[in-house]
Amino acid sequence: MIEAIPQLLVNALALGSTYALAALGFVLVINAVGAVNFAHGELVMLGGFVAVGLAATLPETAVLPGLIVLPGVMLALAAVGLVLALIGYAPLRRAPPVSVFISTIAIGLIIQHAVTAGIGPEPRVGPPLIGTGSVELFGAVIARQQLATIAVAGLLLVAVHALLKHTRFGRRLRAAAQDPVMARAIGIPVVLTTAASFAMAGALAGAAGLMLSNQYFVAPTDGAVLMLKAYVATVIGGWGRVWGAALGAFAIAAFETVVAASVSYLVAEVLLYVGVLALLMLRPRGLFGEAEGRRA
Amino acid sequence: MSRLFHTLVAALVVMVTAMAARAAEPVSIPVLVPITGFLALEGTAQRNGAVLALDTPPAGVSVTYEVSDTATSPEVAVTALRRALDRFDPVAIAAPIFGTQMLAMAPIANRAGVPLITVSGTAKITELGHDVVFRFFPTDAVVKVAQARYAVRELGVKRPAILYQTTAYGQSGHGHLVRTLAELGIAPVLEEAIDPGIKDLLPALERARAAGADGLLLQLHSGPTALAVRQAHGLGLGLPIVAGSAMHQPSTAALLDPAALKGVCAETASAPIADARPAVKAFAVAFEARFGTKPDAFALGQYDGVRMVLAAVAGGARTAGAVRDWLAANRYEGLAMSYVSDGTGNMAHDAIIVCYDGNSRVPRIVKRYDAVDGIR
Amino acid sequence: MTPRLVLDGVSVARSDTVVVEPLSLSMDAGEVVALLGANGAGKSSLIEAVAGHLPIVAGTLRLDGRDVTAGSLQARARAGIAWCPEGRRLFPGLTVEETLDVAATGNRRVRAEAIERMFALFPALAAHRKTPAWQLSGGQQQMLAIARAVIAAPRVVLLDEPSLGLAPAVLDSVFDAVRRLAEDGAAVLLAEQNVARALAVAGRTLVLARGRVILEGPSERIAVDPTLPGALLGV
Repeated sequence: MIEAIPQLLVNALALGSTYALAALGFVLVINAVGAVNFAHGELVMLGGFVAVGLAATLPETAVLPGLIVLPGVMLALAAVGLVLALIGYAPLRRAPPVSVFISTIAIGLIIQHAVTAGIGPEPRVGPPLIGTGSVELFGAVIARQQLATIAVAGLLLVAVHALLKHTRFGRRLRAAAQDPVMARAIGIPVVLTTAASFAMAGALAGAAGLMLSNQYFVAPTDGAVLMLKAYVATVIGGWGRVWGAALGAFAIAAFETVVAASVSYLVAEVLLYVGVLALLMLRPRGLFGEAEGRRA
Repeated sequence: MSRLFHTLVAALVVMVTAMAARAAEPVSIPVLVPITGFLALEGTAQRNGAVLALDTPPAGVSVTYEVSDTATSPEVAVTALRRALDRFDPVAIAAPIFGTQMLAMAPIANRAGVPLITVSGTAKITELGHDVVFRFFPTDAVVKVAQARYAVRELGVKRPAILYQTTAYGQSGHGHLVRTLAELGIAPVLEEAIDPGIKDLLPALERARAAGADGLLLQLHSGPTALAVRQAHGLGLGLPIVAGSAMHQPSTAALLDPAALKGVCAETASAPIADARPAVKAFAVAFEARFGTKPDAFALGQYDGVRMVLAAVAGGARTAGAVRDWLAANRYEGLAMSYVSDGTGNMAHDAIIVCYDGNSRVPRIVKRYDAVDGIR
Repeated sequence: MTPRLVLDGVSVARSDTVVVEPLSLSMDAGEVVALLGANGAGKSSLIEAVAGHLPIVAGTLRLDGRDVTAGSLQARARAGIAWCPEGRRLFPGLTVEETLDVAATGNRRVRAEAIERMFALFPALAAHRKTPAWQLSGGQQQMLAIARAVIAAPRVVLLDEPSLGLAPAVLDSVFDAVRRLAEDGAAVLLAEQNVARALAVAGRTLVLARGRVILEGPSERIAVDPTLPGALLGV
């Protein structure tokens, strides 16, 4: 089994990048709006289907098909994100947070059923970002799509983290999420920043869906599983932390690959959740602690 | 004399008109299948097969039908059933592929005496003594036996690894595979339960390789089957794969490069897109023209089942009880195979194995297993 | 010269109940006016109404002669009315520097200069640039809240109970800051429970009880008014 370790690690890295990418928009909305969007998994799934649909309009011999449709997918999902904000968040922003949990869960179900009824229940394969085929690296076979996913995930993680931490716009987003009234009191246009955040989260979901749909296929029921993994990743890393969620995503992927190869999928999953429980008992705020304390 | 003659003619005209009217009176056959939820793929195939049959009834038969979604829970299915029984007085009902829903619906249909026509593979639905369930798809006792026998006797597999889904479908299939392998004197070197949400099957494939497997038996749903085949191909595993019926579905093959399908076979009741017989080809063409998708064995099985009901009506059965009796007593030559009840409502007893050659997404039928459970 | 801030018969309501009866007040640039009174007298409500957080249901509010009665919280902020609320309400996850940066206006260079000015005004904050707001001490938080309110050089500063929960040693810096705000040209309206400090820093004082002004005048005179204790108790 030792010979399999390089391959397992490569797969863990690729799978972890996929989950991290899927969790990114979810964490952004937590940071920039202070809301928990349970429809995020369905947005990723929808991104996959939009990618499949747009790719079908390209000629058979198109090069870099995924790259060509990526802007369109991100734009379409940004629009969906805005509609989601309008219906599921805006009317409930003064209600207790649990109302947004419920409204977004409902919207997620609506999206899932709409896709099943409107497009069809079959799993689909999306366009590769740069191409098919694989390369050999340290004795492991790694598909070009897996490499592309790792690269895209890394890039977007850095970008989102930098946006939130190092730009004025990002700081204003965080202020608006942490206290919308005081944000307005210092002149921040909270309605605009909220809309921008949901749009960006949608775009990130679209990118994630596109990458996922080629490597792991996409079906209308995928949203719920992805949402659960994004949520657990966020909890592991510390609520609201971008790199924390990424670490949580890699932890989940590691259990689904390396650990599962040593014991079995079922035992690996049990071990993962036992680990999460133990972590929360020892460090209730996650590995890196929450992004904001609550004393001020 | 003339008056008597006219009266007789009038009476005759009235009688003939009445008889014609009765014959032309439509029968109701509602379609209750899962169009949303995790069985939407198979449910939609059921819906399409049933509707194609209902829209082309034999001469002298007219049918009305309504399609209802049974989604994912038994409660929804039972509600749909009760509503159909109340509103339509049906002679038969096209029923969901979902075993759990069938188990909930069967007692109610039994009390109403209305036959349920399904392609569900769950064994129990015909084991509870309700004589209204008619299954037009071979059970695991048929298809899993074919799958195991093909792997062992035709491909020479001696150390199979079984990858099965954690769902009821996967577990039932797993059980039958292990039993059949034991009868053939073979013990699996690996039995791995896989959750439908798992995206990376490398761990299972690695464990199979480490255990010295010389063949893979899959009992997975559509997406995971495609993932397993693709990842096995990507790893250069080189093992023959005999998959469950999910692999024969055109939508599953569509996910893969034809090259990745080389050396992959699947068990199924039928393969309408691969079948060379003119009647089946005509069905496949009509199906794709109407619904825009290629038909699979579930669609064809449901089509055959509904057509058998229509044949019963054409043969004079106009009440639910009469249709039920007709289905239980008669043999029907469907497109996929010949159907006859084994006494408990299992109508299909044949299976086939299809294999892909690596050049196309349309497989070839390589072997037929007839009357696997002994019923001819 | 036009007064900086004019309230003309301003009445304030909290969910359909009038909490401040029609009140008139005129403030010049550089003035500090104190609002005193028991809890529930209407001090915070008046402050929040001028800020734009509570609706003004009667009367008009003018800033440098311009009618801003109908403006929202955001509009008043952009017009130059800064609000430092009761309980401070800082952004818990933002550091000192980040808080000042989001409140400052202008391009990067202008903002950086403004931030440095605030650190000169509040040296205690300079040592904690990178500390998240929730980890600061009470006094530091109050400094930051005031700095956040004034970094964009507002024309009016509204302070709601800045001494709340602070140790006496820290109060000096806080009220020193209040004095300097007025010296820099802002009109400062200060609601306070700490009567002595408020009277010391404000030129004029209003005492509210049950939404009405019951005492009004220069702070030195109010300070020695025999009815003051009773007025403060809301009697």
